[in-house]
Amino acid sequence: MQRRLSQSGGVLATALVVLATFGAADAAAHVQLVSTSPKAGSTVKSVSSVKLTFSGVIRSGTVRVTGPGGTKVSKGNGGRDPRNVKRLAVSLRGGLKAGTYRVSASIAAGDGHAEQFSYAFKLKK
Amino acid sequence: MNVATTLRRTGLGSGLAAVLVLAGSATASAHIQVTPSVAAPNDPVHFTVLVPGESERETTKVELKVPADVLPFSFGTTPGWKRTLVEAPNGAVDRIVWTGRMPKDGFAEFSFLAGTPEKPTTLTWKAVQTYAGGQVVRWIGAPGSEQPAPVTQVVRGAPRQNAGGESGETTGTDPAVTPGSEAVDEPAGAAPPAAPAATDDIDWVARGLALAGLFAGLAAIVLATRSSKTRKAR
Repeated sequence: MQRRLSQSGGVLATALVVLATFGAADAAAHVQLVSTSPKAGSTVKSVSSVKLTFSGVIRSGTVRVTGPGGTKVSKGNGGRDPRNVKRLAVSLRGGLKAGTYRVSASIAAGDGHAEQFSYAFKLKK
Repeated sequence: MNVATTLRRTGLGSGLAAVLVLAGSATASAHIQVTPSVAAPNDPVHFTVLVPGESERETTKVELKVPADVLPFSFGTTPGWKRTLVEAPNGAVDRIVWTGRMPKDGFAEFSFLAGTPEKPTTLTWKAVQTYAGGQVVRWIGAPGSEQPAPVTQVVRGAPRQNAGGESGETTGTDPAVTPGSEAVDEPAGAAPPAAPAATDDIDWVARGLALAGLFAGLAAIVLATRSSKTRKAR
């Protein structure tokens, strides 16, 4: 009885340690995406730039925005906002059509962590 | 031309500088140091600031200017010292300020993690040390000067630290996880039950385990007491 208990305990303890380790990895020092402009999933009437604000300093990054039909509407690759080291920004072309716009961004955070983000918003005229 | 040569030259240079400093400043105070003195580009590095005390005066404040393109993201705690960050208008950490009180014969060590610039460069760590009497020493001079600013060379090929473990590929194996280590002492018996999903089970097993441990401990005490008694009896 005692043996079985401590054995299953051992297995369980190991499982818990593994869970705790992997669960914690997510919450560790990573830089989080705090807010976006336009907001993810929102509908806007006009848009001239896309901004992503993070919880920590980013080293560099790129943003790509595609519109209806997959057309690229962002100018260049975007980059870190010179006025805010926690913000990634890209400006968009003019005369955008109504429809769904997809944003995909990648960053290298100050702590060396690289991460990718993507979301969509809608333009309604 | 390779990195090794560069490093060797740098080493030689700093060696010479050290000799010069030693020879020239026997009477001058000790120097603030920042380590490492060589770091890889675009690497999260654990930096340490060593602030020596002086026999005459107590240090109350140390202010460190963060070189351009160095991105501090995590800060160590030094007991007895409070750390504040002064940010530039763009939100980057511009200066790290530590306030506290260092005994006359003491020293203080501060540490932080920071990403180094992406390209090779020389980081000059300008520091200002303030003493209890209000005197200020500005460690902003060139290497070899009376009050040199500590320097870190960012060189390609220098060993990468990946301090904080966020950079690059990190494997899923964790040295802290040693599967089965808890059960190693037990001979193979009945197959262990599948990992229970319900929290009730976890509670029960944990309690059972604790009880088993308790009994084992008690048994050990009893045995130990008995054997010592037996020994005394002999």
